[in-house]
Amino acid sequence: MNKPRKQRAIKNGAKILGILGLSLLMSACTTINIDQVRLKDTVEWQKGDAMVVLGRHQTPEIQTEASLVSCIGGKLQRGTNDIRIIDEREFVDAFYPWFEARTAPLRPAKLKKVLNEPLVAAKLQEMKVKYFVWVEGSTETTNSSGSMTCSIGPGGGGCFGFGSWEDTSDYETTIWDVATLEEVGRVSTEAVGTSYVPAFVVPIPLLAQVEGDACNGMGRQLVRFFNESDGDGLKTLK
Amino acid sequence: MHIFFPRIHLNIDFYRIGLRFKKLSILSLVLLLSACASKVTVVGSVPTPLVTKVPLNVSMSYTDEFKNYVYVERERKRALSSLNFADAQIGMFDAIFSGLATIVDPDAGIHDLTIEPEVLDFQYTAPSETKLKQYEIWIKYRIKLLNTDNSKLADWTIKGYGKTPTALLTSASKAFNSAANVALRDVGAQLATRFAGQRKIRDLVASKASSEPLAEVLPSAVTAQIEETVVPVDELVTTSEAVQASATVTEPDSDEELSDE
Repeated sequence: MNKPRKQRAIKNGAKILGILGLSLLMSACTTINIDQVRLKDTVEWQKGDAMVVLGRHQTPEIQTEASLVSCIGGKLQRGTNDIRIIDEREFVDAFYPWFEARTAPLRPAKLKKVLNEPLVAAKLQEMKVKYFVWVEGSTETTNSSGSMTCSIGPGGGGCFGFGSWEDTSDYETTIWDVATLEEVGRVSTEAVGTSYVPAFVVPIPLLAQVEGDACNGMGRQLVRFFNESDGDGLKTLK
Repeated sequence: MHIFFPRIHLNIDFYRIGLRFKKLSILSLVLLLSACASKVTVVGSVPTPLVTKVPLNVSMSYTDEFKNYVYVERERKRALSSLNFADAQIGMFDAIFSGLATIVDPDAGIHDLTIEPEVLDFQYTAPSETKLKQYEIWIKYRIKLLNTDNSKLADWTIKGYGKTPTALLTSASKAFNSAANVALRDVGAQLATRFAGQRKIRDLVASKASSEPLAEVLPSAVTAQIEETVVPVDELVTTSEAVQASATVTEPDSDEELSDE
C-alpha cells in the first residue's frame, strides 16, 4: 500500500535535489555593465542586406575570441530578421587578404582605402554588406584563491575544500556604415563573474559564464541598436 | 589475514601553489599535448587573393630544396621533432601569384618574370617553452624576382607569423598545423597587398605596356594599398616583443621597396 507513496516521495525528493543542484550550478553570478554610444540617429537597412561581425586580432594581446564573435553574430541573426549575418570565416576568406590580422582596416578611413580595390568594392556590393560590427577585447581570469584536498582509498574517496576565481570580460563593439564610411555607434561591455568550487566529498563547480553573459548582454544591446533609434522613437527597420 | 591497501592522498592548495582548478586542467592538457608532439605535416590552403591582376606573365620556380623543405629540430627536448610544410607553402605561393598575375609554364611560353621563393628561417614556440598557452610559428622567406634571362631583378624578404587560438587546441600536431597555416596566410596577405605596388614591379609593368596608357595597366588601387603596410622586423627572435612587433599594424613613413641585393 505504501509502496507507491514511497516511490512518489523518492521521485519528488530526486526532483527537488535536481532543482537544488541546478540552482546551485546557476548561482555563480556575473555583473555586467553595458554602455552604448549612438553616433547617428538612425541606422537603416533593407530586406536582404547583410552585416558582418568581425573580431580584432591585430596584436598578440588583442585576440578576440572566435566563439564570442560567433555568439554575437547568432544573437544579431535572431534579433534582426531581415538582415543576413555573414559568418566571419566565410567573409575573411572571401575578401582575402583585406581583413587579415595584419591588413584589416582599423578606422573607417582605412576601409575607404581597401574599397579603392575595385574587386573588393564590387564584392561588398554583391554581398550587400551594409554594416561592419567590429568586436575587440577578451575574457581573462583576474583573481583566484582557495585550497582543496582530495583523497582516494579502498573504501572510497572524496575532496574537501574550496576554490574560487574571478573572470573579467572587457569588450568594445564598433559599428561602421559601409555606405557612408562612418562609425555609427559603439557598445562597450564589462562583465565580472566569480566561479566557485566547494568540495564536500564531491567537488561542485559553480561556474560563472562570463563570456557567455557578456555575449548575451552585448547581443541584446546590438539588436536594440539596430531595431530602434534614440530620441524621436523612429523605427529604422524598413 | 590483514591486507594493506595503499591510500592515495592529493592536496591541492589553490592559493599557495598559485594554480586554480581551471589552470590546473589547462596545464594538464597542455602537458599532455606537448608530450604527443613530434612529426607534423602541414595541411591547408590559402584563398586566391581578391586583388586586381597585374598584366605580367609570371613563372613560378621552386628549387628541389624548397619543394622538399622539412624543418628538423635538433634539440631533443623541444616540442617538435620535424615540421613538413613543403606542399602547404607551394600551395600558398601558387594561390597567391595566380591571383596577382598570370602564371605561365616556364618551358611553354614567354614570361616576364620568374619568382623563386626560398625559406630563410623558421622558428616556433610551444606552451611548454613560453607558458603562454599558445603555439607560435615564424617563417621568413626570400623571394627572388628574376628577369627572363634568369638575372636577378630584386629580392624581397617577407616574414610571416602565426599562432593558434587556444580554444582550437585538440592536439599539438593540430595546433602546429593551425599556426603554420596562419603564418602562411600572413605571408600571402603581405605578398598580395604589396606586390603590385613595388617599384620594380611597377617599372616592369610600365615597360611592358609602354605602348598602352599606364592607367589601364596598373590599377589605381595599388598605389593606395601600399600606403598601409607593415614595418618589417629586422631579425626573427622568439621574445614576446618580437611577436608584437611582427604582428602589429603600423604606418610606415614610406613605401617598402624591393632590395636589389
